[in-house]
Amino acid sequence: MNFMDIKQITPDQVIFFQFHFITLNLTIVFTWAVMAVLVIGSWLITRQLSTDRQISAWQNIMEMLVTGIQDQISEISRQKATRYMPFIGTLFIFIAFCNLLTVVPGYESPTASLSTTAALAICVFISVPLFGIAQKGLGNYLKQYIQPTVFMLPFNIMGELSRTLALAVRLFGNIMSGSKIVAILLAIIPFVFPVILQLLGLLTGMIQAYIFAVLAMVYIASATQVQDQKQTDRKKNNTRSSRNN
Amino acid sequence: MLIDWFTVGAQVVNFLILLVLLKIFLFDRIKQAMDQRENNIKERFDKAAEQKAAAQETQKTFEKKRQSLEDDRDARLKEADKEAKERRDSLIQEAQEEVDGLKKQWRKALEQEKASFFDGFQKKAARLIFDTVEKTLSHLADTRVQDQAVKKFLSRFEELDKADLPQKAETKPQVTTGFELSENQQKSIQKALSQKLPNLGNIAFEVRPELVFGIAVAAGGKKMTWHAHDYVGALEKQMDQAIERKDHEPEKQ
Repeated sequence: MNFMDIKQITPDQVIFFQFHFITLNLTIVFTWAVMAVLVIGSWLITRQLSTDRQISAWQNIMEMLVTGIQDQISEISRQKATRYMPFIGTLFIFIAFCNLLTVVPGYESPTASLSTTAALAICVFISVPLFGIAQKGLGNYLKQYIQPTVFMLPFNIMGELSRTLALAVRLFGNIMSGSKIVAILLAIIPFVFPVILQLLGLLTGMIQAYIFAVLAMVYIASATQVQDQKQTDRKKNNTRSSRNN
Repeated sequence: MLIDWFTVGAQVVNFLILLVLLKIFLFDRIKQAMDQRENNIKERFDKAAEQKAAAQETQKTFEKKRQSLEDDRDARLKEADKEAKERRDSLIQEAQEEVDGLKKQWRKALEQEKASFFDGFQKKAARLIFDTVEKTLSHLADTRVQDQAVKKFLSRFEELDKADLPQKAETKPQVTTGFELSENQQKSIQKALSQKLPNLGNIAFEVRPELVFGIAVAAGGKKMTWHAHDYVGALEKQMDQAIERKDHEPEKQ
Protein backbone atom coordinates (compact mmCIF):
# COMPACT_ATOMS: atom_id res chain seq x y z
CA MET A 1 0.00 0.00 0.00
CA ASN A 2 1.54 3.25 -1.13
CA PHE A 3 0.18 6.61 -0.03
CA MET A 4 2.35 8.54 -2.42
CA ASP A 5 2.36 8.70 -6.20
CA ILE A 6 5.73 8.60 -7.89
CA LYS A 7 5.13 12.10 -9.19
CA GLN A 8 4.62 13.48 -5.68
CA ILE A 9 7.92 14.75 -4.27
CA THR A 10 7.09 15.15 -0.59
CA PRO A 11 4.59 13.50 1.74
CA ASP A 12 3.16 16.98 2.38
CA GLN A 13 1.33 16.58 -0.90
CA VAL A 14 -0.71 13.65 0.42
CA ILE A 15 -3.47 15.41 2.32
CA PHE A 16 -6.03 13.55 4.40
CA PHE A 17 -7.91 16.51 5.80
CA GLN A 18 -7.96 20.25 5.11
CA PHE A 19 -9.75 23.13 6.77
CA HIS A 20 -8.61 26.54 5.55
CA PHE A 21 -4.84 26.56 6.14
CA ILE A 22 -5.03 23.62 8.55
CA THR A 23 -4.03 20.49 6.73
CA LEU A 24 -3.53 16.95 7.97
CA ASN A 25 -1.02 15.49 5.56
CA LEU A 26 1.05 12.30 5.37
CA THR A 27 4.07 14.01 6.94
CA ILE A 28 2.19 14.88 10.11
CA VAL A 29 0.49 11.51 10.31
CA PHE A 30 3.74 9.56 9.99
CA THR A 31 5.42 11.99 12.41
CA TRP A 32 2.76 11.18 14.95
CA ALA A 33 3.25 7.50 14.24
CA VAL A 34 6.98 7.77 14.79
CA MET A 35 6.41 9.85 17.92
CA ALA A 36 3.97 7.26 19.23
CA VAL A 37 6.41 4.41 18.57
CA LEU A 38 9.25 6.29 20.23
CA VAL A 39 7.30 7.41 23.29
CA ILE A 40 5.52 4.10 23.86
CA GLY A 41 8.73 2.19 23.23
CA SER A 42 10.62 4.41 25.67
CA TRP A 43 7.90 4.03 28.26
CA LEU A 44 7.84 0.26 27.86
CA ILE A 45 11.60 -0.04 28.11
CA THR A 46 12.09 2.43 30.97
CA ARG A 47 9.11 1.49 33.16
CA GLN A 48 11.09 -1.29 34.85
CA LEU A 49 14.69 -0.24 34.72
CA SER A 50 17.13 -2.31 36.68
CA THR A 51 19.80 -0.74 38.85
CA ASP A 52 21.54 -4.07 39.44
CA ARG A 53 24.39 -5.47 37.43
CA GLN A 54 21.95 -7.63 35.40
CA ILE A 55 19.96 -5.54 32.92
CA SER A 56 17.65 -6.34 30.04
CA ALA A 57 18.81 -6.26 26.42
CA TRP A 58 16.54 -3.31 25.63
CA GLN A 59 17.81 -1.34 28.60
CA ASN A 60 21.32 -2.16 27.51
CA ILE A 61 20.63 -0.85 23.98
CA MET A 62 19.04 2.32 25.36
CA GLU A 63 21.93 2.91 27.73
CA MET A 64 24.41 2.41 24.90
CA LEU A 65 22.45 4.90 22.77
CA VAL A 66 22.22 7.51 25.52
CA THR A 67 25.88 7.04 26.54
CA GLY A 68 26.97 7.29 22.89
CA ILE A 69 25.08 10.55 22.36
CA GLN A 70 26.40 11.87 25.67
CA ASP A 71 30.00 11.11 24.67
CA GLN A 72 29.56 12.76 21.28
CA ILE A 73 28.13 15.91 22.89
CA SER A 74 30.97 16.02 25.43
CA GLU A 75 33.59 15.56 22.72
CA ILE A 76 32.16 18.32 20.52
CA SER A 77 31.21 20.86 23.16
CA ARG A 78 33.91 20.16 25.77
CA GLN A 79 31.12 20.80 28.26
CA LYS A 80 28.81 18.71 30.39
CA ALA A 81 26.37 16.89 28.13
CA THR A 82 23.43 17.01 30.56
CA ARG A 83 22.08 20.36 29.35
CA TYR A 84 22.11 19.52 25.62
CA MET A 85 21.28 15.85 25.92
CA PRO A 86 17.47 15.99 25.52
CA PHE A 87 17.58 18.35 22.52
CA ILE A 88 20.42 16.73 20.58
CA GLY A 89 19.30 13.24 21.62
CA THR A 90 15.74 13.83 20.47
CA LEU A 91 16.96 15.25 17.17
CA PHE A 92 19.17 12.23 16.48
CA ILE A 93 16.67 9.60 17.63
CA PHE A 94 13.76 11.20 15.76
CA ILE A 95 15.62 11.61 12.47
CA ALA A 96 17.30 8.17 12.75
CA PHE A 97 14.02 6.45 13.54
CA CYS A 98 12.17 8.30 10.75
CA ASN A 99 14.84 7.10 8.32
CA LEU A 100 15.06 3.54 9.70
CA LEU A 101 11.32 2.96 9.31
CA THR A 102 11.64 3.31 5.53
CA VAL A 103 12.05 -0.49 5.48
CA VAL A 104 8.35 -0.70 6.39
CA PRO A 105 6.30 -1.01 3.19
CA GLY A 106 4.07 2.01 2.53
CA TYR A 107 5.92 4.18 5.02
CA GLU A 108 7.13 7.57 3.91
CA SER A 109 9.77 9.20 6.06
CA PRO A 110 8.70 12.62 7.44
CA THR A 111 12.30 13.72 6.85
CA ALA A 112 11.60 13.39 3.12
CA SER A 113 9.45 16.49 3.59
CA LEU A 114 11.14 19.86 3.45
CA SER A 115 8.57 21.10 5.99
CA THR A 116 9.86 18.63 8.57
CA THR A 117 13.56 19.29 7.93
CA ALA A 118 12.86 23.01 7.91
CA ALA A 119 11.01 22.68 11.22
CA LEU A 120 13.96 20.80 12.71
CA ALA A 121 16.40 23.38 11.30
CA ILE A 122 14.28 26.16 12.75
CA CYS A 123 14.38 24.40 16.13
CA VAL A 124 18.18 24.36 15.86
CA PHE A 125 18.19 27.97 14.65
CA ILE A 126 16.17 29.02 17.72
CA SER A 127 17.97 26.77 20.21
CA VAL A 128 21.44 28.13 19.34
CA PRO A 129 20.75 31.68 20.62
CA LEU A 130 18.72 30.29 23.52
CA PHE A 131 21.58 28.10 24.72
CA GLY A 132 24.04 30.91 23.98
CA ILE A 133 22.09 33.53 25.93
CA ALA A 134 21.48 31.08 28.77
CA GLN A 135 25.19 30.38 28.89
CA LYS A 136 26.64 33.90 28.67
CA GLY A 137 23.84 36.42 28.70
CA LEU A 138 22.11 38.41 25.96
CA GLY A 139 24.74 41.15 25.56
CA ASN A 140 27.65 38.82 25.33
CA TYR A 141 25.79 36.57 22.94
CA LEU A 142 24.86 39.43 20.62
CA LYS A 143 28.42 40.73 20.74
CA GLN A 144 29.64 37.70 18.86
CA TYR A 145 27.76 38.90 15.75
CA ILE A 146 30.02 41.96 15.58
CA GLN A 147 33.22 39.95 16.07
CA PRO A 148 35.92 40.59 15.02
CA THR A 149 34.49 43.91 13.63
CA VAL A 150 31.04 45.38 13.32
CA PHE A 151 31.28 44.99 9.56
CA MET A 152 30.98 41.25 10.03
CA LEU A 153 27.41 41.60 11.37
CA PRO A 154 25.60 40.99 8.05
CA PHE A 155 27.93 38.14 7.18
CA ASN A 156 27.39 36.52 10.57
CA ILE A 157 23.60 36.83 10.20
CA MET A 158 23.79 35.43 6.69
CA GLY A 159 25.94 32.62 7.99
CA GLU A 160 23.36 31.77 10.61
CA LEU A 161 20.57 31.71 8.05
CA SER A 162 22.48 29.86 5.38
CA ARG A 163 23.61 27.11 7.70
CA THR A 164 20.02 26.66 8.88
CA LEU A 165 18.90 26.43 5.30
CA ALA A 166 21.73 24.04 4.55
CA LEU A 167 20.69 21.82 7.46
CA ALA A 168 17.13 21.63 6.17
CA VAL A 169 17.93 21.14 2.53
CA ARG A 170 20.76 18.61 3.10
CA LEU A 171 18.56 16.27 5.09
CA PHE A 172 15.54 16.74 2.83
CA GLY A 173 17.57 16.28 -0.36
CA ASN A 174 19.29 13.10 0.81
CA ILE A 175 16.22 11.35 2.15
CA MET A 176 13.84 12.49 -0.57
CA SER A 177 16.29 11.58 -3.36
CA GLY A 178 16.90 8.17 -1.79
CA SER A 179 13.19 7.36 -1.61
CA LYS A 180 12.58 8.67 -5.13
CA ILE A 181 15.43 6.60 -6.58
CA VAL A 182 14.06 3.48 -4.90
CA ALA A 183 10.55 4.27 -6.20
CA ILE A 184 11.84 4.82 -9.75
CA LEU A 185 13.94 1.66 -9.66
CA LEU A 186 10.98 -0.33 -8.34
CA ALA A 187 9.05 0.80 -11.43
CA ILE A 188 11.91 0.01 -13.84
CA ILE A 189 13.76 -2.97 -12.28
CA PRO A 190 11.67 -4.35 -9.46
CA PHE A 191 14.25 -6.98 -8.40
CA VAL A 192 17.47 -6.80 -6.33
CA PHE A 193 18.48 -3.21 -7.10
CA PRO A 194 15.72 -1.55 -5.06
CA VAL A 195 16.69 -3.72 -2.09
CA ILE A 196 20.33 -2.71 -2.37
CA LEU A 197 19.39 0.92 -2.71
CA GLN A 198 16.99 0.57 0.21
CA LEU A 199 19.89 -0.72 2.35
CA LEU A 200 22.02 2.13 1.08
CA GLY A 201 19.16 4.46 1.95
CA LEU A 202 19.17 3.11 5.53
CA LEU A 203 22.89 3.80 5.80
CA THR A 204 22.43 7.27 4.32
CA GLY A 205 19.54 7.91 6.69
CA MET A 206 21.68 7.01 9.72
CA ILE A 207 24.56 9.11 8.49
CA GLN A 208 22.25 12.06 7.86
CA ALA A 209 20.78 11.76 11.35
CA TYR A 210 24.29 11.75 12.78
CA ILE A 211 25.35 14.71 10.62
CA PHE A 212 22.27 16.73 11.53
CA ALA A 213 22.73 16.10 15.27
CA VAL A 214 26.49 16.74 15.19
CA LEU A 215 26.09 19.97 13.22
CA ALA A 216 23.38 21.15 15.59
CA MET A 217 25.74 20.47 18.50
CA VAL A 218 28.61 22.23 16.73
CA TYR A 219 26.43 25.33 16.23
CA ILE A 220 25.30 25.30 19.84
CA ALA A 221 28.86 24.69 21.06
CA SER A 222 30.18 27.58 18.94
CA ALA A 223 27.56 29.84 20.50
CA THR A 224 28.37 28.77 24.06
CA GLN A 225 32.16 28.43 23.87
CA VAL A 226 32.96 32.03 22.85
CA GLN A 227 32.23 33.13 26.35
CA ASP A 228 34.41 30.36 27.73
CA GLN A 229 37.29 31.46 25.51
CA LYS A 230 36.85 35.05 26.60
CA GLN A 231 36.68 34.00 30.23
CA THR A 232 39.88 32.00 29.78
CA ASP A 233 41.59 35.01 28.16
CA ARG A 234 40.39 37.26 30.97
CA LYS A 235 41.68 34.83 33.58
CA LYS A 236 45.05 34.70 31.81
CA ASN A 237 45.23 38.51 31.74
CA ASN A 238 44.34 38.70 35.43
CA THR A 239 47.06 36.16 36.28
CA ARG A 240 49.67 38.07 34.26
CA SER A 241 48.73 41.44 35.85
CA SER A 242 48.88 39.96 39.36
CA ARG A 243 52.36 38.52 38.59
CA ASN A 244 53.54 41.93 37.29
CA ASN A 245 52.20 43.61 40.44
CA MET B 1 5.44 24.45 -3.36
CA LEU B 2 7.70 22.06 -1.46
CA ILE B 3 7.25 23.73 1.88
CA ASP B 4 3.99 23.98 3.79
CA TRP B 5 4.30 26.48 6.61
CA PHE B 6 1.46 24.98 8.60
CA THR B 7 3.25 21.64 8.47
CA VAL B 8 6.45 23.37 9.49
CA GLY B 9 4.71 24.84 12.51
CA ALA B 10 3.06 21.55 13.33
CA GLN B 11 6.37 19.70 13.04
CA VAL B 12 8.03 22.25 15.36
CA VAL B 13 5.30 21.62 17.91
CA ASN B 14 5.52 17.85 17.35
CA PHE B 15 9.26 17.99 17.84
CA LEU B 16 8.95 19.98 21.06
CA ILE B 17 6.34 17.54 22.37
CA LEU B 18 8.56 14.62 21.45
CA LEU B 19 11.49 16.34 23.12
CA VAL B 20 9.54 16.71 26.38
CA LEU B 21 8.18 13.16 26.26
CA LEU B 22 11.54 11.59 25.47
CA LYS B 23 13.16 13.64 28.21
CA ILE B 24 10.60 12.30 30.69
CA PHE B 25 10.32 8.70 29.49
CA LEU B 26 13.79 8.07 28.14
CA PHE B 27 16.71 10.33 28.94
CA ASP B 28 15.93 11.18 32.56
CA ARG B 29 15.00 7.63 33.47
CA ILE B 30 17.98 6.08 31.74
CA LYS B 31 20.29 8.66 33.28
CA GLN B 32 18.77 8.07 36.71
CA ALA B 33 19.13 4.29 36.39
CA MET B 34 22.72 4.63 35.22
CA ASP B 35 23.57 7.01 38.09
CA GLN B 36 21.87 4.68 40.55
CA ARG B 37 23.79 1.70 39.23
CA GLU B 38 27.02 3.70 39.28
CA ASN B 39 26.34 4.60 42.92
CA ASN B 40 25.58 0.96 43.70
CA ILE B 41 28.82 -0.13 42.06
CA LYS B 42 30.69 2.64 43.89
CA GLU B 43 29.14 1.48 47.17
CA ARG B 44 30.14 -2.09 46.36
CA PHE B 45 33.68 -0.94 45.58
CA ASP B 46 33.80 1.08 48.81
CA LYS B 47 32.46 -1.90 50.75
CA ALA B 48 34.95 -4.20 49.02
CA ALA B 49 37.76 -1.74 49.84
CA GLU B 50 36.62 -1.68 53.49
CA GLN B 51 36.46 -5.47 53.59
CA LYS B 52 39.86 -5.66 51.95
CA ALA B 53 41.29 -3.28 54.53
CA ALA B 54 39.67 -5.33 57.32
CA ALA B 55 41.00 -8.54 55.78
CA GLN B 56 44.48 -7.03 55.55
CA GLU B 57 44.22 -5.96 59.20
CA THR B 58 43.14 -9.48 60.17
CA GLN B 59 45.93 -10.91 58.07
CA LYS B 60 48.43 -8.68 59.88
CA THR B 61 47.03 -9.79 63.25
CA PHE B 62 47.26 -13.45 62.28
CA GLU B 63 50.72 -12.88 60.86
CA LYS B 64 51.81 -11.40 64.19
CA LYS B 65 50.21 -14.30 66.05
CA ARG B 66 51.86 -16.81 63.75
CA GLN B 67 55.22 -15.08 64.20
CA SER B 68 54.73 -15.11 67.96
CA LEU B 69 53.83 -18.81 67.89
CA GLU B 70 56.84 -19.56 65.73
CA ASP B 71 59.11 -17.66 68.11
CA ASP B 72 57.56 -19.51 71.04
CA ARG B 73 57.99 -22.83 69.25
CA ASP B 74 61.62 -22.03 68.44
CA ALA B 75 62.28 -21.05 72.04
CA ARG B 76 60.60 -24.24 73.31
CA LEU B 77 62.51 -26.35 70.80
CA LYS B 78 65.76 -24.70 71.87
CA GLU B 79 64.89 -25.28 75.50
CA ALA B 80 63.90 -28.89 74.84
CA ASP B 81 67.06 -29.40 72.85
CA LYS B 82 69.12 -27.98 75.69
CA GLU B 83 67.27 -30.14 78.22
CA ALA B 84 67.71 -33.22 76.04
CA LYS B 85 71.40 -32.47 75.69
CA GLU B 86 71.78 -32.01 79.41
CA ARG B 87 69.77 -35.16 80.06
CA ARG B 88 71.87 -37.08 77.54
CA ASP B 89 75.09 -35.82 79.10
CA SER B 90 73.73 -36.71 82.51
CA LEU B 91 72.72 -40.19 81.34
CA ILE B 92 76.06 -40.68 79.64
CA GLN B 93 77.78 -39.53 82.84
CA GLU B 94 75.64 -41.89 84.91
CA ALA B 95 76.25 -44.73 82.49
CA GLN B 96 79.95 -43.96 82.47
CA GLU B 97 80.01 -43.91 86.26
CA GLU B 98 78.01 -47.14 86.38
CA VAL B 99 80.31 -48.74 83.83
CA ASP B 100 83.34 -47.51 85.76
CA GLY B 101 81.83 -48.86 88.99
CA LEU B 102 81.03 -52.19 87.37
CA LYS B 103 84.46 -52.24 85.80
CA LYS B 104 86.03 -51.52 89.16
CA GLN B 105 83.89 -54.23 90.80
CA TRP B 106 84.71 -56.63 88.01
CA ARG B 107 88.41 -55.83 88.27
CA LYS B 108 88.25 -56.25 92.03
CA ALA B 109 86.41 -59.55 91.64
CA LEU B 110 88.88 -60.59 88.98
CA GLU B 111 91.80 -59.61 91.14
CA GLN B 112 90.28 -61.51 94.04
CA GLU B 113 89.61 -64.49 91.86
CA LYS B 114 93.08 -64.25 90.45
CA ALA B 115 94.56 -63.94 93.92
CA SER B 116 92.45 -66.82 95.11
CA PHE B 117 93.41 -68.81 92.05
CA PHE B 118 97.10 -68.09 92.42
CA ASP B 119 96.93 -68.78 96.12
CA GLY B 120 95.41 -72.16 95.44
CA PHE B 121 97.67 -72.60 92.48
CA GLN B 122 100.73 -71.79 94.56
CA LYS B 123 99.77 -74.37 97.17
CA LYS B 124 98.77 -77.00 94.68
CA ALA B 125 101.76 -76.34 92.44
CA ALA B 126 104.09 -76.43 95.39
CA ARG B 127 102.51 -79.59 96.63
CA LEU B 128 102.63 -81.13 93.17
CA ILE B 129 106.25 -80.14 92.68
CA PHE B 130 107.05 -81.44 96.14
CA ASP B 131 105.26 -84.75 95.49
CA THR B 132 106.90 -85.08 92.08
CA VAL B 133 110.34 -84.24 93.39
CA GLU B 134 109.85 -86.53 96.37
CA LYS B 135 108.69 -89.35 94.17
CA THR B 136 111.51 -88.76 91.69
CA LEU B 137 114.18 -88.57 94.36
CA SER B 138 112.74 -91.60 96.11
CA HIS B 139 112.71 -93.67 92.93
CA LEU B 140 115.87 -92.45 91.31
CA ALA B 141 118.18 -91.37 94.18
CA ASP B 142 116.72 -93.37 97.02
CA THR B 143 116.52 -90.32 99.17
CA ARG B 144 113.76 -88.10 100.66
CA VAL B 145 113.24 -84.57 99.68
CA GLN B 146 112.60 -83.59 103.32
CA ASP B 147 116.05 -84.80 104.25
CA GLN B 148 117.58 -82.88 101.36
CA ALA B 149 115.63 -79.78 102.31
CA VAL B 150 116.80 -79.94 105.95
CA LYS B 151 120.35 -80.61 104.76
CA LYS B 152 120.24 -77.68 102.39
CA PHE B 153 118.67 -75.45 105.06
CA LEU B 154 121.42 -76.31 107.51
CA SER B 155 124.16 -75.69 104.94
CA ARG B 156 122.68 -72.35 104.03
CA PHE B 157 122.27 -71.43 107.66
CA GLU B 158 125.94 -72.22 108.14
CA GLU B 159 126.85 -69.86 105.32
CA LEU B 160 124.91 -66.92 106.80
CA ASP B 161 126.93 -63.87 107.88
CA LYS B 162 126.85 -62.73 111.46
CA ALA B 163 125.03 -59.53 110.39
CA ASP B 164 122.21 -61.57 108.95
CA LEU B 165 121.69 -63.48 112.18
CA PRO B 166 119.52 -62.19 115.06
CA GLN B 167 121.57 -60.25 117.61
CA LYS B 168 119.75 -61.37 120.67
CA ALA B 169 118.49 -64.80 121.16
CA GLU B 170 114.83 -65.49 121.42
CA THR B 171 113.74 -67.03 124.64
CA LYS B 172 111.87 -69.55 122.65
CA PRO B 173 112.78 -69.66 118.95
CA GLN B 174 110.41 -71.33 116.55
CA VAL B 175 111.11 -73.53 113.54
CA THR B 176 108.19 -74.07 111.19
CA THR B 177 108.23 -76.74 108.48
CA GLY B 178 105.82 -77.95 105.88
CA PHE B 179 106.46 -81.57 106.78
CA GLU B 180 106.99 -83.59 109.90
CA LEU B 181 110.64 -83.48 111.09
CA SER B 182 112.24 -86.59 112.42
CA GLU B 183 113.96 -86.54 115.78
CA ASN B 184 117.41 -86.56 114.18
CA GLN B 185 116.48 -83.72 111.97
CA GLN B 186 115.19 -81.71 114.94
CA LYS B 187 118.43 -82.38 116.75
CA SER B 188 120.51 -81.38 113.75
CA ILE B 189 118.58 -78.12 113.49
CA GLN B 190 118.87 -77.53 117.27
CA LYS B 191 122.60 -78.12 117.06
CA ALA B 192 123.15 -75.90 114.03
CA LEU B 193 121.15 -73.01 115.49
CA SER B 194 122.84 -73.31 118.88
CA GLN B 195 126.29 -73.04 117.28
CA LYS B 196 125.38 -69.78 115.57
CA LEU B 197 123.20 -68.41 118.31
CA PRO B 198 124.82 -69.35 121.64
CA ASN B 199 122.08 -68.13 123.98
CA LEU B 200 119.40 -69.92 122.13
CA GLY B 201 116.82 -71.66 124.25
CA ASN B 202 114.80 -74.73 123.39
CA ILE B 203 113.37 -74.59 119.87
CA ALA B 204 109.67 -75.05 119.34
CA PHE B 205 108.92 -77.08 116.20
CA GLU B 206 105.70 -76.57 114.35
CA VAL B 207 104.30 -78.21 111.20
CA ARG B 208 102.42 -76.08 108.71
CA PRO B 209 101.50 -77.99 105.57
CA GLU B 210 101.11 -74.81 103.47
CA LEU B 211 104.90 -74.37 103.62
CA VAL B 212 105.13 -77.72 101.71
CA PHE B 213 108.84 -78.48 101.97
CA GLY B 214 109.92 -75.08 103.20
CA ILE B 215 111.54 -74.30 106.52
CA ALA B 216 111.09 -71.04 108.46
CA VAL B 217 113.08 -69.94 111.52
CA ALA B 218 111.83 -67.11 113.75
CA ALA B 219 114.31 -65.96 116.41
CA GLY B 220 115.43 -62.67 117.95
CA GLY B 221 112.88 -60.64 116.04
CA LYS B 222 114.13 -61.98 112.68
CA LYS B 223 112.62 -64.58 110.42
CA MET B 224 114.51 -66.68 107.91
CA THR B 225 112.60 -68.74 105.40
CA TRP B 226 113.61 -71.33 102.81
CA HIS B 227 110.74 -72.76 100.96
CA ALA B 228 109.51 -73.67 97.43
CA HIS B 229 107.22 -70.64 97.20
CA ASP B 230 109.99 -68.61 95.59
CA TYR B 231 110.16 -71.05 92.70
CA VAL B 232 106.41 -71.31 92.46
CA GLY B 233 106.25 -67.50 92.66
CA ALA B 234 108.36 -67.22 89.47
CA LEU B 235 105.97 -69.60 87.72
CA GLU B 236 103.05 -67.63 89.06
CA LYS B 237 104.58 -64.40 87.77
CA GLN B 238 105.01 -65.85 84.28
CA MET B 239 101.42 -67.08 84.24
CA ASP B 240 100.20 -63.68 85.40
CA GLN B 241 102.11 -61.98 82.59
CA ALA B 242 100.64 -64.47 80.10
CA ILE B 243 97.11 -63.71 81.33
CA GLU B 244 97.75 -59.95 81.20
CA ARG B 245 98.95 -60.27 77.58
CA LYS B 246 95.87 -62.27 76.72
CA ASP B 247 93.65 -59.57 78.26
CA HIS B 248 95.26 -56.79 76.24
CA GLU B 249 95.14 -58.65 72.94
CA PRO B 250 92.31 -57.36 70.61
CA GLU B 251 89.42 -59.74 70.19
CA LYS B 252 89.50 -61.64 66.91
CA GLN B 253 86.27 -61.67 64.97
